[in-house]
Amino acid sequence: MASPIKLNLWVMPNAGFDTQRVMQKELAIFRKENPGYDVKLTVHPWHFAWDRLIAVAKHKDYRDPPDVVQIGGTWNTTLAALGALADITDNLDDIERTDIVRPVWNYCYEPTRTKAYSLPWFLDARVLYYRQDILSQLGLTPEDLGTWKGFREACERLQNSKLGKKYFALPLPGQKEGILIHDLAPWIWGAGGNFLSSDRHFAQFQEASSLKGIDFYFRMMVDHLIPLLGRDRFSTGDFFSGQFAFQVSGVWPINSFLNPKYAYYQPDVAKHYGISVFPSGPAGQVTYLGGSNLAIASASQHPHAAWKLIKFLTSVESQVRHSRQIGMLPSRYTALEELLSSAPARVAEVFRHSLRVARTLPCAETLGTIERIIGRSTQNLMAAVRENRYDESLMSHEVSVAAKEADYILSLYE
Amino acid sequence: MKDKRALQKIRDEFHKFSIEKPLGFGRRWSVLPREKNDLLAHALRYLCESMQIDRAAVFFYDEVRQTLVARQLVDRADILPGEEEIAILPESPLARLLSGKRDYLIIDEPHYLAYVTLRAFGHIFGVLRVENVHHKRAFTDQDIPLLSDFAHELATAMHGLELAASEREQLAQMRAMHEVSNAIFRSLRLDEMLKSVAQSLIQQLGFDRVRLYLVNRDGEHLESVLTLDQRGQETVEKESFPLKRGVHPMVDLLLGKMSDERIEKYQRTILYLPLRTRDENMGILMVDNLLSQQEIPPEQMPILTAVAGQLGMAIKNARLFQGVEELSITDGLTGLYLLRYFRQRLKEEFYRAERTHGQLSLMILDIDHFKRINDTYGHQAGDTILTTVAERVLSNARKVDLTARYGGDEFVILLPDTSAEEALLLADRLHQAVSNESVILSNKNSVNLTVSIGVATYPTHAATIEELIKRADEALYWIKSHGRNRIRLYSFEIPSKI
Repeated sequence: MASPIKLNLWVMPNAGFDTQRVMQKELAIFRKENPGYDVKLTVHPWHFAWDRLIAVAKHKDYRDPPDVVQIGGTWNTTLAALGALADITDNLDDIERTDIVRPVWNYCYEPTRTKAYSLPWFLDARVLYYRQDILSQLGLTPEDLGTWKGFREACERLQNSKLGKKYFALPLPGQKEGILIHDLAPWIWGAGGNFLSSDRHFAQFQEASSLKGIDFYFRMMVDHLIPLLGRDRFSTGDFFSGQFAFQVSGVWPINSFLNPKYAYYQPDVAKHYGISVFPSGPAGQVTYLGGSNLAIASASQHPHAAWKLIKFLTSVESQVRHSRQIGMLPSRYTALEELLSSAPARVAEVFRHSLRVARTLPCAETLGTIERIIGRSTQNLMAAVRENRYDESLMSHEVSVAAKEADYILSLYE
Repeated sequence: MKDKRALQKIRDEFHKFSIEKPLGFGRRWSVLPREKNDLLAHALRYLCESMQIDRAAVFFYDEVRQTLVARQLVDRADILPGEEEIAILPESPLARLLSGKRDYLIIDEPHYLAYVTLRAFGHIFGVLRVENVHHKRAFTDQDIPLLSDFAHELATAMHGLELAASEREQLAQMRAMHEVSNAIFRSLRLDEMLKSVAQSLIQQLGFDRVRLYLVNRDGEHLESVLTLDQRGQETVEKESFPLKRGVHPMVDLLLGKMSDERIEKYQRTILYLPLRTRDENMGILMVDNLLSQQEIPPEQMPILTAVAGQLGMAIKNARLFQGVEELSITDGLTGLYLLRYFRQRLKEEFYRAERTHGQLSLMILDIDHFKRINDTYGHQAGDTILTTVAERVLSNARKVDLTARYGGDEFVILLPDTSAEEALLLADRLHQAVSNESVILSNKNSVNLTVSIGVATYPTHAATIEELIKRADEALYWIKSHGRNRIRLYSFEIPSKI
């Protein structure tokens, strides 16, 4: 009997320390269904994964290269331009294209949309979590969170109440300094702004409407509604750990924070959590849609077998099982509906609605560098907030400097 | 008192790792991944097992961000895939640890953990963290000496790995320099040489993209001539900047202005290297890692500077060679190819058409009454007429066509892969282009020109090269004997000249 084809699969810690266990269960089913194949799983932290994918792309003699790789959706265009990913355009005839959540196709193609390099695996559609018990103690209803103005007023009311000594309003999206483009996006879009022009030749995040969104967000920091490390009380907690009243998140953590068996389970949070669509900005309702894709590494020695594995992992059955474990949404409508059919009606309704108003980031080859520019700029703005220097003109100047830098980068590639 | 046997066991454990082990790994990443991780994973597993510790982690200190970044996390025998960063607040216990003011830090219930500095040769580059999360046993001062010894051995081993990697890095630099130099001198033809250098820079130094801009021959513009990316794809997008200060930072750099905010800010990911000879600006070599966001290592700078120096001179030589080559194959007056070169190319194209069963057409163009113009207005006027006709023919012929001066006032045009019908269309275009406008001579006289063009096609009219030329000539002769100023495709009804 011929020895099985061995595939190397690289993923990120989608289920934290539990990733190996979660993925091995899936892979056991794959092996059973495909006796001629074996899969070696490697879990790379996000910040290592990029460097390793680049190393594979640039060194044709890389030892033990991956066959199938998980990539952040926004990485697709850049990694394709670097030759790290195999062209899978023809393979797409093999799947039911209309079943993939439509907007995330943007993360699969190169900018001219002629060639596809990855297939969506799971989604990150941002919603607003809130504590129902806190809200009712403040005399508010979920409807009060429907707009930016209402949401801000709710945060202020919390801060000015006795409850404000026990709970913060909204956490920073990460522990790192600076705000990621993903987290800034709904505020910029909600104010009618954009990151880049549609031809990707110029930055637009310095335009008046974009600035309005950025200012709204940073004013929440200025007014201590989003506490900052080093200025407000030190906290690395979040909504699910019970320290915050609100949180913007793309996760529905049924198997972790909302599961009584989970080590960091907080009964109060699980009992009282509420969920809502991201508040409407002056330009309407919009939220961020991201996620992870699966791609065949161009260094793969077994592209046909690699596609088989991708097809399995993106199948409806596998997506439902996997999504339940990691808390992200499946990328296929059928799997999404199956998952949401077992969710509380409100959760299902909010995620469905969010996907209808969700937008994706632009597919620019230089998006990673532009993300860094924006990250640096927001870092400076956070420093200004901390040092009580923040005002609209400083913000506008800082962002316009960043936009000029982005224009320079775009002029070199796009 | 330290447990000497335990310490010896730790040392023995580290000696299992041969730091001379060849990595066989891409040069830019030879220091960082894999092997160092292997060492860390092995060491931390050993630590957990030998000291009955639940979890151990190594954090490297990022001084710029003032953050400890987890490099490797081990839970007993399992490597954890998690990410962890610890922001270092000023005057915090961890900040004191990293500044060397203390050597360890024990944090008691409910965390049950201890931090020990990773120090080698006087430099602290991170911390070792051990945890007893499962057993809930607090660390005590008695645990520290052995942990410190372990941390010191680990730090020393990592330092050794870095030294070995650095040596290999130097060797790799020399190899890269050798390869790129070879690429520069591989060809005297400019296009080939530039492509070969760009390929070599991408292969040897791993850039995302290499772009070359050259000062054009009139010395007035800086023009993009080649863009090659990591996939080996050439981009055709052309850019041209007037060679004047203030037009573009790249032009300023070439003209000697040293500082540009944008160029300086990105000098770790985009490098512009002026290509110069002692007395001439030749162009700019631009390399970048903008997409991969990998910094260009400072060790590559000497290579790139040397390459830029050699390349400037090589471009100058290639252009001189190109000039000499052009002089020997072109007519000094019209710039058209000489008949000798034309015949060589005709042969090549003819054999290709034969081999591929393709078609090939040939035109002979004659200026009507040229002798009379020459006699009336003088030889200088005759030269002006010849130059004007050559210009009009060149600007209306296709890029693939080859035009040569055939004799005094005759031109011959080779049309590869062209049928008789297509050749006639082109002949008509040339006929109109030359005849439509009069020529102004230096004495302000104007002359109305007309031309006659004979056309023949292989294999329709001829089976050999000589026959093809003869048929086109016969078609031309027929026109001349029938009033001139027209075009004519050869037909077997045309009587032979001989």
